[in-house]
Amino acid sequence: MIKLSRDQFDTIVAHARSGFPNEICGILAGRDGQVEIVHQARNVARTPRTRFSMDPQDILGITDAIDEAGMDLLGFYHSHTHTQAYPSPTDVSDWPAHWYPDALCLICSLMEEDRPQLRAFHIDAAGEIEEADVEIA
Amino acid sequence: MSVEIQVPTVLRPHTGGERVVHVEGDTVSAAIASLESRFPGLRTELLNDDGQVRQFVNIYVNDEDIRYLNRLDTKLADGDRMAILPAVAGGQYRVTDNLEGQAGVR
Repeated sequence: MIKLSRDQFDTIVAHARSGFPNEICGILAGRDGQVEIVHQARNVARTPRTRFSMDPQDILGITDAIDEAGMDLLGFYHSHTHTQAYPSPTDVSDWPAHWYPDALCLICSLMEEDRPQLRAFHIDAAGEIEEADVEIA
Repeated sequence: MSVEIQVPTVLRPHTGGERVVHVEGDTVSAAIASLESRFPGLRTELLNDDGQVRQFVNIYVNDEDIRYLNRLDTKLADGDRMAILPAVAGGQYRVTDNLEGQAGVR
């Protein structure tokens, strides 16, 4: 379960729309499953329309900030501009479960332009996918 | 020669919580060997069984990705900064491959 405010959900969707047609990415920080900060990161993938690769320096800066704030890294989010909000084989194979076993993979889909979707998944090191509830309130 | 190494949050349990450590080494490979001698177990977090940098690890020297330098043989000079950074990646695929302007899908 991960909980977001309506504003935080809107922030992620606005980020996804602003990056279109490229994928965007970021990190969600908070406590006890409640998101407190939406950290936007840069996508430095060479083919950003279909891939994301989070800027390593952004990851370093953001994870340091999360650590210093005493928060948890709740999840990594990215957008799918033309496909559903479900982990692709690339998402699963590239997922850093080894380093972030508790972080959720959140996907914001813009496939239906007027109905952006945000779903969250736990992906383990073996590639098993389990959906987690997303509560927006 | 001494080089500065930035350690990401996820690996700081290996360095006693230290964000920056200094080790000796004239190549990235030698610096990793020095790291291992000070912080046993760290090498296997960075390199796979074939001795190559793991998929989820990026190593930068003075803000340059070593994949675009000379990889593990990249030379280090006194005072150089080496950063170990996590890799987080993924993305939609296939149905949109042709959006990249590449020829055809599959």
